[in-house]
Amino acid sequence: MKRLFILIAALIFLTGCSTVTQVQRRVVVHAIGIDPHEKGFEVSYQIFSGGEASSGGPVDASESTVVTLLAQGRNLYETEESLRLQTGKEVFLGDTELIVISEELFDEPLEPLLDYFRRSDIYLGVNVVYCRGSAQETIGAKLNQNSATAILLRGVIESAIEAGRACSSRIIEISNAVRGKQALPIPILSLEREDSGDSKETSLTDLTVGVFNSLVVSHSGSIGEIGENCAMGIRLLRGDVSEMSLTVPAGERYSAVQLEELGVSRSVSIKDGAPVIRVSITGQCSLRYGGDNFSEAKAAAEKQILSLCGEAFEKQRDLGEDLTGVLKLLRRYESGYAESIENDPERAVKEAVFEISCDLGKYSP
Amino acid sequence: MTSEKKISPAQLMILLVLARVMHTMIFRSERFGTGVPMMLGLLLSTAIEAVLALPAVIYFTCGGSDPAEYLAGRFGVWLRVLYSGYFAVIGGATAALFTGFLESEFADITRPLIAMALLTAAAAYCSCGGIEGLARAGAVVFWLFAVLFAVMAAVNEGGFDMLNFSPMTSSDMPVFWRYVFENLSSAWWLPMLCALGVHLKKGAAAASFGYLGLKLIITEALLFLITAVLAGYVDVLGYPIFALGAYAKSDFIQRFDAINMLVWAINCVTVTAVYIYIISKPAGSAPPACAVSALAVLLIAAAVYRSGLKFDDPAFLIFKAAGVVILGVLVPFAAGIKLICKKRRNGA
Repeated sequence: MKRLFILIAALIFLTGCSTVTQVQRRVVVHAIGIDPHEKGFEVSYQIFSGGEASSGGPVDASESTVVTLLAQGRNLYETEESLRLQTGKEVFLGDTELIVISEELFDEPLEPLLDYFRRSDIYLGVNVVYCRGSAQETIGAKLNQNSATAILLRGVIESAIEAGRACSSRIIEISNAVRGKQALPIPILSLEREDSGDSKETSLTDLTVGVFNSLVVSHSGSIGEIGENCAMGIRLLRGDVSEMSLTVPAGERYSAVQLEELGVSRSVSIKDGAPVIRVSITGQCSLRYGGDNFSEAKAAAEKQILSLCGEAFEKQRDLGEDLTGVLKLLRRYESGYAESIENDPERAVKEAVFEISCDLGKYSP
Repeated sequence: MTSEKKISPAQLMILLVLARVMHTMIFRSERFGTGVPMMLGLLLSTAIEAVLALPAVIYFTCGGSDPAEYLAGRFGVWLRVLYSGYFAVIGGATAALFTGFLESEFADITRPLIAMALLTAAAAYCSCGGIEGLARAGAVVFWLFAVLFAVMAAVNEGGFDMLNFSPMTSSDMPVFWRYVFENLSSAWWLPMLCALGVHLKKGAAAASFGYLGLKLIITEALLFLITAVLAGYVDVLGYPIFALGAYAKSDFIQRFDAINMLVWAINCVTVTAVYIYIISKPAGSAPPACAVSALAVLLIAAAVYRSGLKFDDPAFLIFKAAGVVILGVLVPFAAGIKLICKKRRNGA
């Protein structure tokens, strides 16, 4: 049996030797920026360079080890091939941390891009976001924090998602939403340049980085933008946020309130032919800053939560797209009704009524 | 000759489970999707399988030996050749579909014929070790798979969305029944039980019902995870177990593809080795017989691969189902009747 295992192990492990690619013969991509181009697409690939001169016109020609290479093509397969030809190296996308799509592609369907992401070796948990301005500029920005732009930007997005101010937009989530004919808000990354004089170099100190809006995308394309308040409301109504910080009025000043252990229970019933969705939000809150009147701050926080949910609900009704998982709820709890509106789901979304309640307790660690 | 070698019910159960896991690994789920209909379909088909297993279980429990030999006397060898032919096709198709998976996921580096040849060569060598060796190897592979499955589930990055479990509606019924039928037609563990039952020391019932229970737990757990976490995305990736690994990540292991492939390849070799062992049984499972059997498997694998045939093609479904009914149910049923009648006569 010992020989048997040696044979199996050899079979498994040694087959990899036939097509092994040395690390220095690979281009390891960390971020991808996609812009429109007269040919189709212009894609910026942020890579770590080992220090040797890179061909292909790096956007960032500093001494930094992070460079951004440009490639054009009619589709993303062609741009990848172009990158391979430019560098003479195998392109490895398995380490990609972020995919940024230019605002000029807001109105273009996502499906062709998703198809490429799915077929490539990009990890399906990578966030896909839009950006203000060109993706090339966003990906190629130099942010002096001894870290690659990709890592910093990914951090910005993840922080926004964690704080409930944007919705998670991983490849798998966008793909499921598009396939399931649902709408999904995709964060828009803003990298706004402030006046930095004549200097061509841009550092973090003169850049405003953040996620302040999201683009609502459905299977048929983009529908419109929403602000971060609306995104917060959507996260609350979906029940997929566990903590959040709010700034609430306290007299003439403002207080910072931290919400912990947020829990959302949802139920649905049909009343007069229209779905009624009851959402009950519970959680614990603590006063972080500004005054010591907890009761007042708690009441203000509850009021703000209801307001955020109301904003999301109004937006959903205006757009006629399911942003809060109404259709899933109906399929789960009112399958008969869900079947009856299968051909006209927009009607159910527009007719849906939300009854929201919020009850916060005092946070005791 | 290794036919006198005995294995325990747990070892046989694990070999049967590995064969089922291999089938699940190369099963593509696009036409079925995921969700409650599949989970209920699996439950129903397992219950039916439990009933279908009774003839074989009763036969072996009553002290029966090889049912083919017992039923057909000196012509039993021809019935055993039928088993060989059936498992040659099942083994060939398994190797071909595993190669198809390799090609779809690793198109740049896969050389299909070389992969199939290496696979069957390794399996042929393993089958020469006899059923005891295969059973011991199977136990190692099973634990490897169990650990991998648990780790992939534990470090999965997706959140559980219980709303993905919508109740079954009338529109789900066609998918439900088709899934039940496909599951039943894939129950070739019944012919396997008949072919390998002779190696059991005792406990055919424990092996059979233990297998059914373990299969149900593993497959339902997989369906639950991919439905709750991946939802429709599993249709994009196609292979459910692979899809589970595709969304798992930890600081220690960034990508599960390589580990997945390691376990899949070892499992494929082990399961194909068991098939080759069964195929070569009429000739005593000696090394030359194993080599010829492996060659037959390779040729069938190449043919299946070239033709693009899938396990769920109508012709293949009928072939599989016919094998299950004839070799897995009718043969042990007839052998059991003969055995009971003989015992009654002797008793009288």
